[in-house]
Amino acid sequence: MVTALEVAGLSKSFGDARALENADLVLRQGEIHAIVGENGAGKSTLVKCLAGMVVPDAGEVSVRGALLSFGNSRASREAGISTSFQELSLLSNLTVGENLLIAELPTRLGIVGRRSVARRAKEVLDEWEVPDLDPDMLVEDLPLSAKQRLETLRAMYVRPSLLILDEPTAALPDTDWLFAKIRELVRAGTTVLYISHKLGEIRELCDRGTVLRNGEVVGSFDDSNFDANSLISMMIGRSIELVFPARQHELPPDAPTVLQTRGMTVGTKLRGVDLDIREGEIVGVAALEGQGQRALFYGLAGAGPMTGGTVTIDGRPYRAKTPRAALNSGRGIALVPEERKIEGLFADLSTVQNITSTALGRVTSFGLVRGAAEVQLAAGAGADAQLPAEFLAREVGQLSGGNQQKTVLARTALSGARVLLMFDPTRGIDPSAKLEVYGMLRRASAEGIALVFYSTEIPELVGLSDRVVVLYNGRIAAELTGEAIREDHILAAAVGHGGEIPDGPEQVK
Amino acid sequence: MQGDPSARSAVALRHFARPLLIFGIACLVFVGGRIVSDALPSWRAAQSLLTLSLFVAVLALGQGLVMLTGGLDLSVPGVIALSATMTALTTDEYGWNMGVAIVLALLSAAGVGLFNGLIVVKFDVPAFIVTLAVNGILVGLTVGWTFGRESPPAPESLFTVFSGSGKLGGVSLPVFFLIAAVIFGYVLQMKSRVGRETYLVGSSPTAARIAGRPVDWILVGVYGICGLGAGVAGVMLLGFSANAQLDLGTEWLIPSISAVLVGGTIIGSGRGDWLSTVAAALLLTTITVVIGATGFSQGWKSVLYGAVVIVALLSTRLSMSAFRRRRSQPARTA
Amino acid sequence: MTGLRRWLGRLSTGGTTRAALFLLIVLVVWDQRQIGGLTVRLIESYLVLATPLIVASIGVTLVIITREFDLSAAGVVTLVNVLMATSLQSLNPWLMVVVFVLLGAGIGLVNGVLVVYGKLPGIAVTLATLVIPQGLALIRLKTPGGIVPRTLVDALKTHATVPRALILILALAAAWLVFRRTRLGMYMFAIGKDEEALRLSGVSTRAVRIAIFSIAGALYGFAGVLIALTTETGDANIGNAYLLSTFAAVAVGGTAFVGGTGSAIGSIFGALTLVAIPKVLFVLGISNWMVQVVTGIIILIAVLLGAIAARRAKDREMLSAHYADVGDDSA
Repeated sequence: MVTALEVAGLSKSFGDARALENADLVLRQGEIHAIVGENGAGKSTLVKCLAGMVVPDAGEVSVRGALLSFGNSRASREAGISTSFQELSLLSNLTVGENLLIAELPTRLGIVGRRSVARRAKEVLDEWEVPDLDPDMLVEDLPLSAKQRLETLRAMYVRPSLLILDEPTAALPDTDWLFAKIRELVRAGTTVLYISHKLGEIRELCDRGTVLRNGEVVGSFDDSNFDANSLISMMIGRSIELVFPARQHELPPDAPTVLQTRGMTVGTKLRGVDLDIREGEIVGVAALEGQGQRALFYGLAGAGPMTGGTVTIDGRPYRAKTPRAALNSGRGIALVPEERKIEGLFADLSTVQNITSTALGRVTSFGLVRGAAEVQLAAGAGADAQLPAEFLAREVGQLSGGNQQKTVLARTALSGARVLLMFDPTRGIDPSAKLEVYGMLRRASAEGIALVFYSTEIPELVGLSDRVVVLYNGRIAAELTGEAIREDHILAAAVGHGGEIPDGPEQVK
Repeated sequence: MQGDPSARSAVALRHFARPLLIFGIACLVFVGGRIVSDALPSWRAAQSLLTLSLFVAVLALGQGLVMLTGGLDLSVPGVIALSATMTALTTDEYGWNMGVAIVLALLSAAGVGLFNGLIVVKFDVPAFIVTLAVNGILVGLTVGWTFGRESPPAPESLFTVFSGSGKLGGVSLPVFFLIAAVIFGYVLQMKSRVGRETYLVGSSPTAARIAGRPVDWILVGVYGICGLGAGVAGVMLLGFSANAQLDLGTEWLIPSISAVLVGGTIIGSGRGDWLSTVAAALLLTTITVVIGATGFSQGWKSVLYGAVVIVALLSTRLSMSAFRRRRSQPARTA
Repeated sequence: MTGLRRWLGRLSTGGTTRAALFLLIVLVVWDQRQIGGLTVRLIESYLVLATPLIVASIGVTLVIITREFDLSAAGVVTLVNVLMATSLQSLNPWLMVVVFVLLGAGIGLVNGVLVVYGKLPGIAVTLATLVIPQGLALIRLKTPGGIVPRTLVDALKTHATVPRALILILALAAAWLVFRRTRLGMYMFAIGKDEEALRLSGVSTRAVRIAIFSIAGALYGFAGVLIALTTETGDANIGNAYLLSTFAAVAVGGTAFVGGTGSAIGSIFGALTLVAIPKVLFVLGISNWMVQVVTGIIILIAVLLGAIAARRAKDREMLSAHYADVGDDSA
């Protein structure tokens, strides 16, 4: 057995947030090795360490026996590593051809010739059977799926000895082309590190796999006949049944409708969505990446545009131009945003100051913020959100993901909003923090707060929602209630197979 | 929560260590001035130093808030010229009551600031270009207004107060103004709602918007405060220099911005505190005074300012990453 | 087909086209009101006068394309201007130019290193490198004066069939067209648009940013040389005007301050416009003090127009679905 890649004791922390902890990994020459794990399990950090984009705090990586020097993308490339990134590293103001060849743009007398770039790119595109991409097209004019193919092609066409693909199918309508090309490369001797959370794909493609949880390697599998359920419980750290707190009180059948949308439209992202959300109800929103869910949440919260349709709150017409207006409207609509670090937190201020930011009025007299009252208010809200008191005086940017999210939730609770829009509230936080977030959702709903939450983790939607709305291509593809809320149903609708319900989640392609 | 004294002392350290350190350096430079001049250090020199610091501090307050939000107000010289000229012309030429004249000058100054803020917010354009253009417009307009009547004189009482000739218990009046300005600035930046909202917007405008903060109004307000501060400085400088020269404000822009930077404020962040800004204003003014005493070219002042700014920027950056490292250490061992 | 579309797209958002039209209007007004019209001599001296600002504002444009700010132009320009008139007089004059351009590049390098490796905001760093050279210039030369090498002055100003300044300007424009198609030029635009994406693509974005700061510094140095040649003297106070006018030229030239877009050719038009404005106001009989006012208002209008265009583009981006190909009836 030849070792293609050996990772030993790799660790990386960002502040208190631990991304990778003593991770070990061995890849055999010519295998397709899967890395599975939840969002925030450390998959992307591992990828970035290998690609020379992130310098780990500790550990060693050797490629075919040779030690890799960290934080140097050139060194990684020269070691034969080529990477396709999850967040797509394409430059929108350059052409397809220029992007494809970006690291080694062909020049003559120092000038990058448009025609020579186009010619070379065309050769590559033809060779790799991507005829529909025009080398002269600007990348910003491409649809997401074409960008995704371009990103993976850019990693593959150099025929690397180690190919890293980080969620390469997130935006692909089908995987046929990609898988065929990966297998072609493997036949020619390439080793592949394949990161995904779609178990069906992994069963189809990969030889072996490693499971990451909370930055640590927690398990592995040696063939594609793994048991999906045990793998999932490895990923989340406990069996699925235990995870979700049950609803304490039945949702009264006559609970009034709080928020209603009719034909809500946002450009071409969201195309006519009708939603009814009742008091105390938890409505889950399921969708693959980029199906209009962000436009829906941000539009409702006044944080994004809305170009058509009507929204009513308690029967009265509502249209918020700013989040402030949304918070101050009738019941108060608050958003727990997607990008916690940028949109949710004041990273260089203290946790106290973060928590009270929506309720400054309550601790202000004569224009001055009363320090003691502020700390008291924050401590109360923090305790409700299970946030340990020792973190209150700390700079919030230094807390772990889970404690940061609790800070955001404490702040949201203080705002007094009766309608909460939560965009992926458990993204990148540890399992115990997840459980506490679930508990908070339940408590809020018991208080009569209407909740809409989007999650990339379908089990969460199944475990918590009274109703699940599936978005596909900017429209509601399915609305599921009661017994119909099942992972397989949700997945089927999310990939656009609304009509036919397959037997199990893994058969969905 | 009452446990964890280390957290609290860390907070206290962050509050007072930096201003004390900068203040200490300022004192050293002042005492060390002995090397270049026999007139240093002296009570007399200290008073004139504090007087000069007053102008820097008054300007640095608004500028510091603007810089926290990620902007920079370069219209300060123009606003100073406008406010000083307005006060001087209306009292001297038109015979207005001084109080009325000052109030009107300050309102105009604040108006210019609000205008800057509105443009920056509504069109989302870089503040320093907008304010640079507004500065040109203001200087031009002031020239046009005073045409044929260069440098109108300051009202007598204003001169007495700010030139340092007026004293109270042997202490010249600007020193009291400085003390008042420091207290006012501390309350405004560190204790008031306005200050807190500014920190929130500075730390993350997007998060502030989503948390329902009136971000646009805060931004406009901050520029308004900066304009008002420049107006106040204009009136003070008019008294200080006895005449409303057009370039009255030019030499005060860089010191006030430098004071904010040297005080450790990071542009567009939630980091920065008022007492450090004040201490930095004292330090920079001391450097000016000492250089003045050497009889060296005024060029040295600029050179030293620039050097101090770079050193301060780097040390702020280093202390921050050291803080980070200390913080992340226990997490790894745990 | 895509070529035509791209060309049309460029024209509609084209700040450069706007800048050219604006310059044309200003020049036509000047020609109409100037007694005797615009003569060759007049144009020649106008072009000579504009060269320093043109060169400096091209430098600023490069930095702005990388989504940074650089205030040091005024400082470098001042220092080099003073040194040209006071120092290295025994050196071969052409070598002298090289030395001062390198000096500018060195200051730019310092900016770049501090911004990139020190992770400091460009506006703060370059504020320091604005005042330090200004101070040094003042130390070197308290009052305007000094001697500028005659050879160089003649090289720029001598009357010729094709004005020397025009050749210089055309050469700069040509150099820009080449530069934007070099690797460095393309990386410069890419950084302004999305630095992280470029980094993930395996390009050393640090090196690119430092290189751009250094090239900008070299251009400021060259601009300082040109000022010395046009004014034929050294003046330590010349820089303050350049702080405003370099950014003004960039703004009037139609470069939006958003990063990833911009044109040095636009800035050439912008600089030419700014230099023409006082002349036009003069022939229109408008008082001198109005020049600053009018210039300020023009900058404001130019910046706002650029901002409005940028916002339109952003709104379009926000509303369009990027998954349109999956859809059945996407427009």
